[in-house]
Amino acid sequence: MKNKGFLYFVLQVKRKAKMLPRVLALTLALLLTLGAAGYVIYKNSVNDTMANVITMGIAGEKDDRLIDVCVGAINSFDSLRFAVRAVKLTEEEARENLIAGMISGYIVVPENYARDLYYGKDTSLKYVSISGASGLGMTLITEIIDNTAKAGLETTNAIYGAQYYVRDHFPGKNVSDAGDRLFERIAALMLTRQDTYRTKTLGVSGHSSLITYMICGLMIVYLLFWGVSCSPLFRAGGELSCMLSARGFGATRQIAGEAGSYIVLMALCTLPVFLIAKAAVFFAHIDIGDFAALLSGKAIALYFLCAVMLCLMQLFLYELARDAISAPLLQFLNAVVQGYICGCFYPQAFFPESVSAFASHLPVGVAVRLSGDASTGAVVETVLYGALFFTATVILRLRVIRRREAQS
Amino acid sequence: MKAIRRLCLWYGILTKRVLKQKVYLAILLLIPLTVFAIRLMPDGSGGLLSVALARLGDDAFSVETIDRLTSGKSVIKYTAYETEDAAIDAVRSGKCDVAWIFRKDAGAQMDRFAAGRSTDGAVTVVEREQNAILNLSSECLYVAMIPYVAYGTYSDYLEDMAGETLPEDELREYFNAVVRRSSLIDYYYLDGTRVESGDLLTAPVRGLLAMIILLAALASCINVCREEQMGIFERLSGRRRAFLPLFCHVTAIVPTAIACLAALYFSGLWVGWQRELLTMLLYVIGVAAFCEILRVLCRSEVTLGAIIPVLMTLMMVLCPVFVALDRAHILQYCMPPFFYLNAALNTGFLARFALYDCAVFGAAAAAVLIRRRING
Repeated sequence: MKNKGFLYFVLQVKRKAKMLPRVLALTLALLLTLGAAGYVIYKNSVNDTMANVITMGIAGEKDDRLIDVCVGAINSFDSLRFAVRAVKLTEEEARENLIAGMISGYIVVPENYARDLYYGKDTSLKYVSISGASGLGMTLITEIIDNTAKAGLETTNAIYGAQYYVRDHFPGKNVSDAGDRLFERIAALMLTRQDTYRTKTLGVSGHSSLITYMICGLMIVYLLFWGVSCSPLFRAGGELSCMLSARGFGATRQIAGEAGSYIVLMALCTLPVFLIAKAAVFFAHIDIGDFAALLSGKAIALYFLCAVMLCLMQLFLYELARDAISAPLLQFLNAVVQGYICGCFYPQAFFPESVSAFASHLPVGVAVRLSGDASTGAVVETVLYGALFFTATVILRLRVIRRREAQS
Repeated sequence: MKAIRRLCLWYGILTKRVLKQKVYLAILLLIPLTVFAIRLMPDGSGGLLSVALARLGDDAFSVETIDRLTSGKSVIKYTAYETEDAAIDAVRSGKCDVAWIFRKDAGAQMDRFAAGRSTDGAVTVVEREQNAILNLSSECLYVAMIPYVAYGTYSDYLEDMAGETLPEDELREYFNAVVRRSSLIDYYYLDGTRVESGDLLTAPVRGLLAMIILLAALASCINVCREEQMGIFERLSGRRRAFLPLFCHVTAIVPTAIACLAALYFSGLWVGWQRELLTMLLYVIGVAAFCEILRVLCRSEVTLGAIIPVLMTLMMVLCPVFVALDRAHILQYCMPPFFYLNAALNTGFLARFALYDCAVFGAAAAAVLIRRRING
């Protein structure tokens, strides 16, 4: 009987291996594309070139000093140079560039803006965007613009305050000169702003760096999406299960064989990911935080443990919904919802503490924890989840077999 | 009239076929429920980055800056700690990404800085690592200091000019005389619609729902491939058989689209019945046609299954689901979610979306007819 069980496993592996070449080829294509894009971005950031993700236009009167302040402020923010770039344009040019997709948005500085501010008129800048998603990108841009605007606001207060003061108290002095001198002082301080704080780095021992965390998250998302691609392997109806059961292959043996072959297929599709990553680190001399630690034997073993648990979860979902439409939808919904709230797409701090705490105990949350921090608790939770999904799948299969037997 | 009745009959039959799956119905219910649950999450306590704040002294600069940071709305989550050690422990344990410790003489150091003299730094930034987001947070730290810097420089400049110490009240009055608004920026879309400030947690929901609708269509493609192999549509006449898959996709997409509309309604991202229904209608047509092209090109359920993760990942990156990228415009203009996500909030995009639908529908019809001719 043991040999028959193994035979079923081998048969399942052969069946699943039929789709392997196509899945593998497309996986490799995707990874190579992502890898090449990532490498170019990484190299550009290292070389400090202007390979910006977001380009922002500043539109208004060409010789307006405030526009120069805004452009200068955005471009001088060291941390943003990689992500955001500001360019000076007319409103018409900005509009055309925005429609053509050359810029993400533009700030319009109204005519006589500086004068209106000076005379205390209620005036404001306008940020125009075409982005349909008021998503994270927009939130980030809003934060950057708000910060720039706040800096501009305080600078304006200081300049105009000084000009008023000079006008009222120093009649012989040139009001405009006073404003210019003060502006120069503030601009000079802006360049030496790093002097206002001292940085102390503790190191990432015991925890993964942000980049490693995000890579781990993406690997888990990749695994979850990979599960969607396996939907053609599963068919609705339980005729085969019932027949196998009648011949002595119980539900446990069936699930063990199917899970084993599913895991083998997953391992064959995942292995190239590590090989490509290893090769990239070796040949391209990539040195991002503790990224190399991700490719250690221990990290790969932990990732494999996560993958086995996630495979069992996917198998359970396939047992729950086997028809061609519900099955991939359920897999995708599970991937997106769990991936989202467990922090695969965003840094951990994105969600409120209570939600993060809850999500960290969900299957994907446990996988994220395990891939970044190999604590005993996370390992035990992973094993427990694996056992739970296996048992639940067996119970569901038993129900299918019994229902079929009752029908016949 | 007869043709319309027959169309409705076919639509009813095909929809019934999809809806008889209890799990599918459960998934449809789950979509708005999940979004509603996300909406119920406590707002404002999350962010892209978590910053621990602590002060060693009681000077006005430290107290006011910490108050301003913890009370303002930002993508950075600020938490005030009682002691320096507690803040550093929060960083060490991974609870926070960075700690800003305001030194005992922070105010005096800022005065020195504003006067252009050398300084030992007013704040100690303690972090586990250095990365782009942490660097951005440092800029936010400087912006938080700017009111102090601007006022300090202003008063220092005027006192230099006067050659004596000037009264604080008078200086403050002049400083606050011109601009009092908290923000100088208003946000608009290209069509003039004002951008409402969004909730960070539900921000990517519209994009993810668009992906779910797309996946429903791709799943329908797999189903049609399987049924074609089984010869289910063999008895239908040639032309009807050729266009039936497109109809099948629509019947699979429409219930999912309704569930997604319900989810959008609960998410707080709803932009009005007219706009939502129109963009969703265009999206359903676009997605059905787009997926039919893929089905004709891929021809087998295994290949279709294999391209799903690639396609979904690509669309999530290139379409404005999480971030709007200004890259790969040609690829973006091939993707239905790109049009949907832009058109939903920008009426200027509706005409382009309609054009895209016409083009993709024409391409799908051409692909089906070519395939039919090849197959004889």
